[in-house]
Amino acid sequence: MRNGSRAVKKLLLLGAGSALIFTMGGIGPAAADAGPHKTTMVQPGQSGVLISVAGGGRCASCHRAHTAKAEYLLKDAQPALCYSCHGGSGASLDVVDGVNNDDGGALRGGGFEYALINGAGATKSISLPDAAGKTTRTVTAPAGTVEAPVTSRHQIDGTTTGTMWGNGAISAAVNPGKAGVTLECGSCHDPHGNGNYRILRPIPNDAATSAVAATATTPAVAAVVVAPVNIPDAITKVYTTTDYWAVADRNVPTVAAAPGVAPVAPIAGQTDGYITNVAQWCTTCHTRYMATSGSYKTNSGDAVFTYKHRSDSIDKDGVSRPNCIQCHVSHGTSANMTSRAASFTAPDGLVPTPQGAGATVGIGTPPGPYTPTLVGGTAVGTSRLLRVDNRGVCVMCHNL
Amino acid sequence: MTNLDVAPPVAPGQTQGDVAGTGAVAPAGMKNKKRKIAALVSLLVILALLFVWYLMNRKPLSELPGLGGTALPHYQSSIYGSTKPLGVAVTASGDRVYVTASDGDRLAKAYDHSGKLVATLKPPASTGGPTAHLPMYVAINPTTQDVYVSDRMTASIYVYDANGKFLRTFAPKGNLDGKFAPLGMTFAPDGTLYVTDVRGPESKTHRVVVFGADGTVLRSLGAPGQLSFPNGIALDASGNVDVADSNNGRLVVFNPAGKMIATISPGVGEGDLGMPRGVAVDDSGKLLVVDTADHMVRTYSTDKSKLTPTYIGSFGTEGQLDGAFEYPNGVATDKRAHVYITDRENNRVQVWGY
Repeated sequence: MRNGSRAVKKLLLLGAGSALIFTMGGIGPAAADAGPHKTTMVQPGQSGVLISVAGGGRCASCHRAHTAKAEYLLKDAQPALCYSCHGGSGASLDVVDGVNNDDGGALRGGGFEYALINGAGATKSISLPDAAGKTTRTVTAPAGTVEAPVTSRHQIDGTTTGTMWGNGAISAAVNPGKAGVTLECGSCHDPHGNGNYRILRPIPNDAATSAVAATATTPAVAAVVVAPVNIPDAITKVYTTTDYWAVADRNVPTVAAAPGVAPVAPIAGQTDGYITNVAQWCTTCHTRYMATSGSYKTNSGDAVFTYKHRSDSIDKDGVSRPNCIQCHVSHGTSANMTSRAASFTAPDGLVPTPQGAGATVGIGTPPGPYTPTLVGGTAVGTSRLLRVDNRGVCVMCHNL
Repeated sequence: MTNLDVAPPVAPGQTQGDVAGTGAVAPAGMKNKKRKIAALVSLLVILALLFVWYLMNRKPLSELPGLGGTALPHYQSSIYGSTKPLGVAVTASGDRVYVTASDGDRLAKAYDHSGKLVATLKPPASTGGPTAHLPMYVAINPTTQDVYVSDRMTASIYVYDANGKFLRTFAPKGNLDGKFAPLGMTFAPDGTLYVTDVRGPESKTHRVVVFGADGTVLRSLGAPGQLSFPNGIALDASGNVDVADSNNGRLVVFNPAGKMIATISPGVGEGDLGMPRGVAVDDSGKLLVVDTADHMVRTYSTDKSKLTPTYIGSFGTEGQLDGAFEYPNGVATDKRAHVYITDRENNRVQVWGY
């Protein structure tokens, strides 16, 4: 194996200008957008770059040219390969546990096994009416101090299939989305670094094929051509939060920088570039969830996603607005659902099961290689990646 | 039967050696019997003395001919019970194997030599709830047999007795110069503790911190920017400190004075490293480095005459079968020629031997 690898190294050195070198740059440690994920590509205008430095043998940390065990010449399958660093001992951001190990901070996206989301601790305050009769509301969904098992997550084991809810064009026939989808870390993130904040892919892997195939019970949905969405990079990156309801990131400029070009510095008072883009990014997969103002009373023509809560709002003045990530996290949440909140049906008519290492079995058995652990013997139900317990996200904005 | 074999005639009522039926035993026969007994006793005494000498001067099995040197171990068995194990430590006799679990109950556990669970090492409630902890590496203090468990999440090292009873949280004395995020640990014979520290968001602050036996901060190793997520750490017979400079893909050797004197390089060449994690030096001086990205353990000799360890060979391959690894991480050796390796994604600790 080593002899073969030596030959590979020679080939890589000889092929200094080859696409292989260019596409294999970067390796593994530290913060996502930089550090090891930072591309080692030779940039335009550079000359005489030492390949031994640019390559540095680091390609081999994740790739094998002839003996790869997974797609894209990865030496092993995801997510275990990614968890080697992002599982506790090799990086600052621990996505398994939803924590930034440098300071114990809560990852904004939560974790895949545990998260620091204190869904039960969310609060709301309303001031007394002022002279004009107006009140001011203050809401917080604090980060927890102790990790809790996740109750729902994006399943990223690469083998468990699920439905990509809302994927596809508006359909008069009942069609909840694209079935049989598998996800991996690399579905959403580009491990080589791409100049986007959080190294998010402009188009997640599966979104490009957004047509829903016909089955015996569901008709085909026309293909949707999704446009790439760039989440602008930021000079100051914020990976953690103390308040899960404060999703704005004013550090992110509204103008996306091209790869290799310094990002545009944020301007005070300018719209948040992250919030501006992220709803469009989420809906490259969940196509039919995109909804504009008034969608709550306008028939979309879709048999499933007929009337919808608005999801396209942006942060104009530092105050959070209705947006995908206002209510949902991307990795996994530890918010708990009880009673009716735990048993709402999904668009396909089924009740999703709780997921994660600490998920309790309410209905069915959590998919994947995880052994559910009873938490106080109480079924917590699925939480649909929500940030607040039960349907607290509704009350955070609406005074019922 | 020849004539020489003919015994003298024996009269009725008379036995061989009995003189004229008096019952008195002939002196020659008695001497023979005593000689035999004396020889037997002497032999037993000599054997006993040899056994005592062996107990007092025995060498590890790994130093017996054909077992040390350049020999590589082979797979023997596995210990199950810890989920996504990372760190492992073992007593000299191999009667206690301590393992940290990074998933499941996220606790350290002690197993006996047969793999039977004998204790669970639980931090007290005052240090946080059941999910507040993430044990990483484990080490045994040779002067007390206490067990040290590093916990990056709580930035602490918890100390237990050999039976798993919580004793205290390790309290550094002196100036730590900022935060402390412990990972790998190893002890010198006098109880000096070496800890890899991955504090801070960038590798510029990563280092090795050396504590005296009483917990006093003595010094740190590694210039700013030199180490990136150092993980496993071990001392060799010369007092050199071998550190897995994990995210730089190399192993760094510091001499006893703290000067970096050698590295084992990252790369794809013979003996090069991918992503080193656990490090151990066995009693024959063999350096073992777990390469988690290559799913194998690389071995090197640590010859005093050479600064850089000399590559011997590797064992293990990627997979789920016995002897195959999925992201191995920690390594430890006992003095019975056994090597223990945490096999993270296979949820087991593999035991290899010679």
